[in-house]
Amino acid sequence: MKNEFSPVMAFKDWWLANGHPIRPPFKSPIHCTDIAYALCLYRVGRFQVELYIVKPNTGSPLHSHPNIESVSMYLTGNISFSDAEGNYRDLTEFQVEGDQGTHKLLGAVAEENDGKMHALKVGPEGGAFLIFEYWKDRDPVSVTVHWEGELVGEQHAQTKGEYVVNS
Amino acid sequence: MWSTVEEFRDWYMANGMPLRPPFKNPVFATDNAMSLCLYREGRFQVEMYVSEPYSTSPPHTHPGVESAFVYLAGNIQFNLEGRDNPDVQQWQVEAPDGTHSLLGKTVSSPDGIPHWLGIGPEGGAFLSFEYWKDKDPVSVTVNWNGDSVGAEHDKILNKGNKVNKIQEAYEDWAEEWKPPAKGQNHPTSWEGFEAGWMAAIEVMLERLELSKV
Repeated sequence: MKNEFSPVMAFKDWWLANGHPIRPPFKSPIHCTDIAYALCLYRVGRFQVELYIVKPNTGSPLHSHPNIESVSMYLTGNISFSDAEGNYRDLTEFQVEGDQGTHKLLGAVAEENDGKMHALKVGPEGGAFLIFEYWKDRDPVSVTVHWEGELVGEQHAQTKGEYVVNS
Repeated sequence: MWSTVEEFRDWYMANGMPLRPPFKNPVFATDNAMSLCLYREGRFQVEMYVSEPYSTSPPHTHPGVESAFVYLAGNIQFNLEGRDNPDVQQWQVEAPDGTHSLLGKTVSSPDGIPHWLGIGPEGGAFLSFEYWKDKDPVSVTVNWNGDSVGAEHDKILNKGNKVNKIQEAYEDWAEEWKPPAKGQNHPTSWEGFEAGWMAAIEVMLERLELSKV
């Protein structure tokens, strides 16, 4: 259920209402895997928002980000998030152009996630989305490296490995 | 509307950096970088580039495109031919507000002047403001003159420039073909004519990455 008063929803609303400041941090701003590149756009305390750009015709297996409350916001492309069982909602009807040449789903928000399993599927157009995050028990880095479950590939393993070694 | 890429850049930065990725052609990926178009209006657009750690791009140009880059994060050495390119390692420091000390710094890259990049261990992110003078914007990743960054980039260049490649193949063929000089024999057999024609088709198929059925 959507919780308008959760810390991460409040952070998302604040960031959007304040002109979505793009102020990547000096420390650990970029994380790359085999299927996606992430740039942290803004980080303050235990909160951050990351931009994910995802390669066409890719996906991630079921995984979770323990102790992270998150909510994803659609930007463009062909992206679907699954539920905890790996079931995807058919978003084909929304793969159309919206206002001012943007994607019809621009600004749409996926269900808030509090450490639950989920997966990702990306179509031939690739895609991009924002993840607003509240790290409940540690300083934020990237959900790419704070990942429980099967990884997306060798590059992901290397990126995650460097995080584990340095933490 | 804007008349220069610098005007567009200044407008975009002063107006809250609107996040309005287009539906068409928003995302491109090469061997070591990905781009997302954040905003496109007429012949102007701004793309965000995120580059892998320790990656490079060879000298290249984007024909017909005036560009201006804005530094966001990471460790990026931008070089422009004919210019004194300072070593940015001296500015790899944190600003008092926790951002990169180079955040917001800008450099213009005029059409036709080669530029190249070197990315350090932190990876790199920057904005590419673009004014496409003679065609609708797609991505400078595919409007690229110079060595590519690798096999993935080659694939996307072929896909992105499919129409141009047909034109190029035709122009090469037309340029190389000369009418036989007086007294020089025309091909005297169908086999000779066919071999030449098939060779031209092979060139086109190769450029299009297609195969004969």
